[in-house]
Amino acid sequence: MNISEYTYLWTTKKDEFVLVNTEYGYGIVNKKEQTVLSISDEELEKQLINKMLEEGNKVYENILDAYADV
Amino acid sequence: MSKGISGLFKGTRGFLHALAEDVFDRFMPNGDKNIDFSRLPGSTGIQVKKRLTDKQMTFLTNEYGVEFAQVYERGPGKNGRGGKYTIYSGTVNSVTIPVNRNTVLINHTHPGGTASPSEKDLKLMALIKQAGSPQRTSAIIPIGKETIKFTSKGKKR
Repeated sequence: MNISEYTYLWTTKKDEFVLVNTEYGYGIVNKKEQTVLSISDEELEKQLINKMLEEGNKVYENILDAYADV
Repeated sequence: MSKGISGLFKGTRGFLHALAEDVFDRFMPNGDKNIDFSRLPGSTGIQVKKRLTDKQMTFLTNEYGVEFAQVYERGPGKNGRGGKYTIYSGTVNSVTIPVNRNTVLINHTHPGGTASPSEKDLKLMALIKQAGSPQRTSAIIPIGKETIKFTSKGKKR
């Protein structure tokens, strides 16, 4: 499991990739493309989300708020 | 391969017939007809003329070893008719799916055969609902097992 292939989430594409809260935790959303990056490896997803939080990616309570903030 | 060209694979991989750019009928030696692509759809996706069957989705996952997702974008007609179907592919661990008020995640495959919605599947349904889509049920095609339906609350009984 290697998060290095996802570094774009908090570096080059940091402005696009945000976290959106749900009752099941944060989802990784590209607010510009209006897409969701669905990671099936739960441990990998946890690492990515923690890294995005650490690096200051924006967080929203609702996906529509994220889409409106482009 | 470009549109209009048919061809033979070597061995038992079947015969191709182009349907549209990037999309082919693949006629297998056992008589099955599958859909195949000239490139993996990725997060860009490839539009198909009609909804792929569970068997066709299974074929793609078995062929390429990655997760595939089928999304319907609602059209202008009554109850969203007149829309389009798009197939997306991911890696072994992930797939990117468009989520807005018009998208419906018809189904997606689980290459590892997990026959239940994971937390990420439930999370995805929750985001679809947040986006304003009317969708409340989706399906998982676990490879080697029966298709299951699920909602944002879990597996549908």
